[in-house]
Amino acid sequence: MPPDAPTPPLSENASAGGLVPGVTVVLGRTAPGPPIEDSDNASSSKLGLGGWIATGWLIFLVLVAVVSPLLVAPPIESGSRALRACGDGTGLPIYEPLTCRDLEAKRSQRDGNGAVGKVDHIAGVDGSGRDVFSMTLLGTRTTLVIAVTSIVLAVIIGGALGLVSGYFRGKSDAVISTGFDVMISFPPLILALLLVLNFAGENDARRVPGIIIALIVVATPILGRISRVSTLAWSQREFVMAAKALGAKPVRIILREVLPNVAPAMMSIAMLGIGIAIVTESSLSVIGLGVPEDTVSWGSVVAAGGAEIRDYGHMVYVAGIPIVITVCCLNFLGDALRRKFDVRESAL
Amino acid sequence: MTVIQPGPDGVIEASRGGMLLDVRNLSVTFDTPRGKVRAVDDLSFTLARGKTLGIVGESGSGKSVTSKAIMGLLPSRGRELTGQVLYEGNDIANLSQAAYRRLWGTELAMVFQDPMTSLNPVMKIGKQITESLRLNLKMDSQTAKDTAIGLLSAVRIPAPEKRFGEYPGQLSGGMRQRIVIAVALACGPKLLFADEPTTALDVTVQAQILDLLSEQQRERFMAVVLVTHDLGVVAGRADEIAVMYAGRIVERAPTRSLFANMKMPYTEALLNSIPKLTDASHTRLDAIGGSPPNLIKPPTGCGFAPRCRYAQPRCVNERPPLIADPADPEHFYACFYPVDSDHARSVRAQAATAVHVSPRPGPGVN
Repeated sequence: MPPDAPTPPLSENASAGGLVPGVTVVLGRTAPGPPIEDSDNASSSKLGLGGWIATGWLIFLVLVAVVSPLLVAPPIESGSRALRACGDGTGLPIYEPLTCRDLEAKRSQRDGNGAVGKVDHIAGVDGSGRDVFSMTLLGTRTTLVIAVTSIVLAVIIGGALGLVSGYFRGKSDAVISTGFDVMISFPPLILALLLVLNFAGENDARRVPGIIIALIVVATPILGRISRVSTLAWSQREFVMAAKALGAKPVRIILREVLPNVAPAMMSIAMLGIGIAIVTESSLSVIGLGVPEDTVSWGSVVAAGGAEIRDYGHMVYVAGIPIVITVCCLNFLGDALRRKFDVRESAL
Repeated sequence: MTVIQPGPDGVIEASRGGMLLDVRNLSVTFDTPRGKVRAVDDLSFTLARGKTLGIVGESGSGKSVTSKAIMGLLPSRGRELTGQVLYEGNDIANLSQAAYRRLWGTELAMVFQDPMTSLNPVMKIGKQITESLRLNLKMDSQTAKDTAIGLLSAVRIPAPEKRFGEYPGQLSGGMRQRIVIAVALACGPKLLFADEPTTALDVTVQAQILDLLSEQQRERFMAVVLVTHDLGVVAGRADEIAVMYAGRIVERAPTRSLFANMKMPYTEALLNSIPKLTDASHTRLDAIGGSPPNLIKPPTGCGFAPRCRYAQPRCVNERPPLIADPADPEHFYACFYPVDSDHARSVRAQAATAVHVSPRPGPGVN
């Protein structure tokens, strides 16, 4: 083909990209596809409005998780003093939900004539007299710690297994991939349920570690598969062979050459994974296998609300809506991150 | 080597002892789901220090597999490698990866075909060069950086200090191939494999890259194996050319003698398929019809016979051995009816007459 032969699809791209057609034809010969470099680069460096909103929400959540326990009113005794301390309307509307059991306020709120409940318990109290809004705020920390810890560990374990099986292939791949397949073939919630039951049983102190272990086991094969597939693809690149031909050892090649390229895909799936972990943790709470009685998480608020959903349905939403928003934000951000890194690849 | 004795092809051993690379009867077989593929079949050649060998052939002729086999870069599973690869007198065929690691970078290096995929997109250029310097030559970071910037200017990268901190995505294809060359040259290898180093590049950049390679070769007294499908690329640059077809060397000769006294019909066909400036416009290009043979069931006779215009029944039934030209002992070819044989002459004469009597004479008859 003569080098300067004009080809219609390329000139279409050129007009779409707003570039000089002649320039694009030359570019198009080596890299087919829309060669719209300038505008792509401009958009790739930004997350977009949605991305910033999502980031903002997540930063806000982390702040809440860090700060909320500091704002809790000091623990108080039960009885009428408790009512005053909890409901005098002067402090921040955050109560230690486990000690301040404001039964009277609850009663007055239920009867619809108690100003105390309306002013101070902005989301009301649960069946045990715990402030729902406080529970939600304080539950943020537990929820985030459980979800993030389990996904971070799952990324490390699954990522490492995926890198090993994808890079070395052969026997190690056969063993690891089969393991992933077996783990994935269990319904995730049932698997998590069994693991929590087995690990924690009746022992409340082991509940939280049990949930984390269950989430790790559920998430590892998913993340491991992503890591393996991505490693397989990147290992075929010539730069991996070039690194080998310069005398680099496998561990070094995996860590320095393959991992940085696999990481973006892992990160975006890990974002999704945190969302799924939050939902799974809440599901376990609703089933009754969530965090123990003396701890609060979003899941336990939803579970408490679920018990009284006919009369006081709002309780489910107070914790449910943050769960939905957070999961959506994580999905959106994971997607935005993937797009951001994809553009750099396509410019290659 | 103290004992002087004639080698397998009658060459005195001592004269081969000085060779940097001496490949003897190298064969590579791959296990595939459809059967064993003999990608490289009984290959022998030598390469002296500082010299260039061009390996020419079309896709699937085994030229890339040859260079990767010598480099020890073939996957270890499902492949079988027989024969000897003597590097400075030591057999390096079937060495372990750990043993190869001592050669990689400092003795053997490779420039890969596609500069778009042979650089790590998430690592800065400087880092990609200094890594091997620090790893193999144990340089400290400042020395490595200075050396790398020196290398970048040696491969004619403008503003090397600036490029040092940039990512491959910020460079053009030609620039990236220069970086790839700089990476390969970093530890001063004695033998460089260039596997189609210009295939992915624009024609205008190709010549620059090839000139750069020969310049660096001269300066470093480095031997180069230049693998390409383009006879034009090796014509002016290689000291010796090996033409490969279907995993075998079908003609091997010093460059001058190969072009002056072409023996193998395949080489002739390759040369004819290059467009010539002297041809009238709209001249039909002589493509080589058909495709290379299936290497799972290799033909009993000459692999090129079905596509060869001089082919005779003997070519299909019997495989021609690689023999030396009686008039020129350095010129090897594997053909019963070489281009300058009487049979080939008569075939060409007939073809010329046929064109003359045809109602629509094709251009370029004379």
